[in-house]
Amino acid sequence: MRKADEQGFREFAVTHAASLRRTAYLFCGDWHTAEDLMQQSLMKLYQAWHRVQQQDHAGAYARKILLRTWLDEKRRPWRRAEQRDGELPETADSNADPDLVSGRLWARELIQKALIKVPPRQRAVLVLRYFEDLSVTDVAAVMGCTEGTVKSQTARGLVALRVAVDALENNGSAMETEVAS
Amino acid sequence: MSEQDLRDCMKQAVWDEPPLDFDPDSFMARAEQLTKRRRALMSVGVATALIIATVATVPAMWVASRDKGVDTAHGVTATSTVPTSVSFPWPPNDEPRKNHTYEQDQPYLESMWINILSPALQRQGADPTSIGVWSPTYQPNGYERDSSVSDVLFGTVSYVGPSGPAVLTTTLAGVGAWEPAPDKFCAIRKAADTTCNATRRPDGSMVVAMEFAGPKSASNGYHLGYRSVHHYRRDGSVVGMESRSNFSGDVAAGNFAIPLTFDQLTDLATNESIALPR
Repeated sequence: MRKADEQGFREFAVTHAASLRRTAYLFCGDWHTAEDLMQQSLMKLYQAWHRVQQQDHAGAYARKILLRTWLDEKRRPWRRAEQRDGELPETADSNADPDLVSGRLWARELIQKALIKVPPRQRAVLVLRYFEDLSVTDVAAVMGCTEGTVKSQTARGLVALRVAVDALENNGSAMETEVAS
Repeated sequence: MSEQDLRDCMKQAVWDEPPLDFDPDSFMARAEQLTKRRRALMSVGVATALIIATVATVPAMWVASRDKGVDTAHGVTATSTVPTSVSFPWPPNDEPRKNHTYEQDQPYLESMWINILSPALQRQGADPTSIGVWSPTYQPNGYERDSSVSDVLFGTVSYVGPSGPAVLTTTLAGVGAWEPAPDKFCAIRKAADTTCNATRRPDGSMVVAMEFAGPKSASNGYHLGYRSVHHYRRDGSVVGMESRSNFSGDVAAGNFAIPLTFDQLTDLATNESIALPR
């Protein structure tokens, strides 16, 4: 790689690494996997950098690589089971606002337990549209499908997410009832 | 859950993001190393594939070249210069065959005889006064192709050449009329004491040259052979020329050397002016 290209890639990687990792986290629900996905995607981007640079849409291309890397990872047999154990228990922060903490915990629950139940491509559409704030056209470009498919996947993804959230809420209230009794 | 709730929830879900430990220098070094390793692996892969291909091909070529030798058990030298892997689709196009009648073609054939065939025989040493009448007729070609269409013309002419009385047999086959295909001709026609070669010409057409030495006459030891050249043209037509001595029943008086050489027959057969009218 030439010096100028190298400098360009370095700047891109430094500015986009964090956002790519966040998107990856919302795809997979695990920061360690998200870190791996981000590194793998940047590595692939490095190898194609001379082409990407000419087309001047490195951000969209990086998202596309990230999505494909994640979908490929999911197809691998040793990645199929999305189970994590050994999570550290939450520690109480006496200075934190209880409402804020509760909201953040709920959000994490949502990602780790409800969003993870949404089928992968629908989950990807939801993340790209509602986290990355991409337009339908941009999501279609990243996913390599038509805009109509993006709309239908979004609608189905929302339905699946609502079902998962309802199940999560019912589970929570059942547990509370069990504890109270 | 509304779309806005989901949007807010996703933004909040990354609040406990662990610190990003991304060192661009070490990343770039690792990426460069991986790229080099990938290139090296690809080079090794290509080199290995080339070696395997060479190892597999050389013995096969050696076996193929050994198989082209003389079949001494049958006394037949059936050599072919056509590589077995090269296919020559025959007929080369799906143009429909065309019915001919001698009456319709007669003026054309007469002109061809006067202007091309007879002068060509004279150039090859035929005595002009000895050249007989050429009266070709449409006949089935004798092979398996449908003979209901009249488009194969056979004609024989006798003359006296440098080696004595001779006969030239001409075959003019229309587009799609002739069988066998050029790469099967030698296999079908080969017999004892036959030499047969199929050669592709620079223009893509093929020439099949065959010589039949013929059995020795039990009474006088003469060979009654013939030599032929068939030109398979790219349009699907075929012109064949066959030369033999004309002993006319008087075996003892005949000279049985085959009158025309392969080169002379090839000149005649590949003359594009000699063809059936289209």
